[in-house]
Amino acid sequence: MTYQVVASHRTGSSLLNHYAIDHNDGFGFHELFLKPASTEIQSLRFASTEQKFEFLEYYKKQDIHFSIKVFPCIVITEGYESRLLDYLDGYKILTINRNPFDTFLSYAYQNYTYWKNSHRLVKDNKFMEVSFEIDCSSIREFCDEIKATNKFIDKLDIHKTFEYAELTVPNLNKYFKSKFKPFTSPSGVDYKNLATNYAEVKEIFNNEMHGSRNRAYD
Amino acid sequence: MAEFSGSINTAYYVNEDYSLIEVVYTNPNDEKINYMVEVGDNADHKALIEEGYDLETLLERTSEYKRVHAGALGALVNEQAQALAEEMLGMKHMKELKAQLQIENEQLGVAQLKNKEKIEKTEKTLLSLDQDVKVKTNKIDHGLFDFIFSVNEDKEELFKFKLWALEQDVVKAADKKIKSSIRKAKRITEAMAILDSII
Repeated sequence: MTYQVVASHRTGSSLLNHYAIDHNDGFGFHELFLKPASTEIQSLRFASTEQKFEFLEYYKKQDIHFSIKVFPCIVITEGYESRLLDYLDGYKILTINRNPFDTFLSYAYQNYTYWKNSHRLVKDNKFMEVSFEIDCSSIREFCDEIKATNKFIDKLDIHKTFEYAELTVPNLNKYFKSKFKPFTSPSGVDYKNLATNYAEVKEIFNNEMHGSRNRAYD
Repeated sequence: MAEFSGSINTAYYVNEDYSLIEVVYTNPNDEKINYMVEVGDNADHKALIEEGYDLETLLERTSEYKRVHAGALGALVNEQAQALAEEMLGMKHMKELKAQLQIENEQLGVAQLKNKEKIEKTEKTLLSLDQDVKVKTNKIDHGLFDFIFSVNEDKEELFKFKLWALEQDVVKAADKKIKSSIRKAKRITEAMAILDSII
C-alpha cells in the first residue's frame, strides 16, 4: 500500500509525508515537482516536470512505487493536471484540512523570517518566534492557489483527510502503525499574538478567500 | 725359312717410312706372336715375301690394320670418353644436388631461425598481452569494487541500485519482504546481499 500526499503548503504536509515515505520503506520524495525538487537524487532534482512524470509513470508500470508529496497547484499551472490525476489513480491519497488563514499566517511568517526555519525541528529547538507585520500583497495569489488545490483535491478519491490538529506523533504512529520518530513537528507559533496587523489581515484574507465577511473558519 | 713361315695370320707396316713390318703368327703352342721384320735384303723379309706378303699385300694389310686399329681405338676412346663424361656428369649432378641440398638446408636453417625468432616474438607478445590483460582486468575489477565502496552509502547511487534491483525479474517474483528489505537497505552492499539471497 503506497500513500500519496496531496495538499497545500504550510499545512503540515511534510510531517505527514515523512510518515507516508517511512511506511513505503523510505521509497519516496518530498515536493518532487518543486524546482529544484526536494530530493538528494540529483538526476531528479533538476529534471523537468515532463521528465519527473516519465520517471514516475515508468516505475509505476514496473510495479515500483514511490510516496510523494504533491502541491498540485504548481503542476496544474504547468498544464499537467490530467497527467497528475492519471498518476495518482490507484494510490491511497492523503490530504490535510487546515484553516486557510492559519496556512497563510504560516506562509507570511516564513516570508518575514526569510524561510530560515521552515520547519520546527524536534531535537534542535531554535525556532525563531518574533513579532511581525503580515505582508498583504500576496493574499490574492495565495488564496487562488488554495482554491485551485482544493478544486483538484475534490477530483480525487481521497483515502484519508487529516485535520491539521490531528498531525501529532501519537496519532500518526497509530494511523500508520509505526514507531517512526519524525525530526520535525508543527511549529506551534502563536501568530495571533505575534502578528501586529492580525485582525486587519484576517478580514482581508477571509474576504478574498470566502467572499465578503465570511467567518466560517473562526 | 723363318719361324713364322707357314703360320702367318697377318703382316703390315708399322711405321710411316714403311721400313718395319709387324708379322702376327701363331706358334706351335697356339699363341699369337708379334714378330718384327726389317724391310731390306734379309732372310726374314725374303721369307715373308715367299709367304705371299709382297708390297701390294702388305699395303692392303696395313690399311686394314689401320682401319681396324683406328676403329678399335676410336671405340675405346669413345668408351672411355663416355665413362668419363658419365663420371663427370654424375659428379656434376652430385655437385648440383649437393649445392641444391646445401641451399635448401641453408634456406631451411634461415626459415627455422626466422620461425624461431617469430615464435619467440609471438610468445613475448602473448605474454605481454596476457600481462596487460591481467593488469587491466585487475584495474577494472579494482575500479568497480573501489567505486561500489566509495558510493556504498551515497543516496543517489544507492537509490539507483535499488531501482535496478527492483526491476530484476527475480526480485519482481520475490515476496513482499524481499522487496521491502531492498527498499529499506542503507548500503549498496546490503541490497546486493539481499539480491544475492534470492538468486
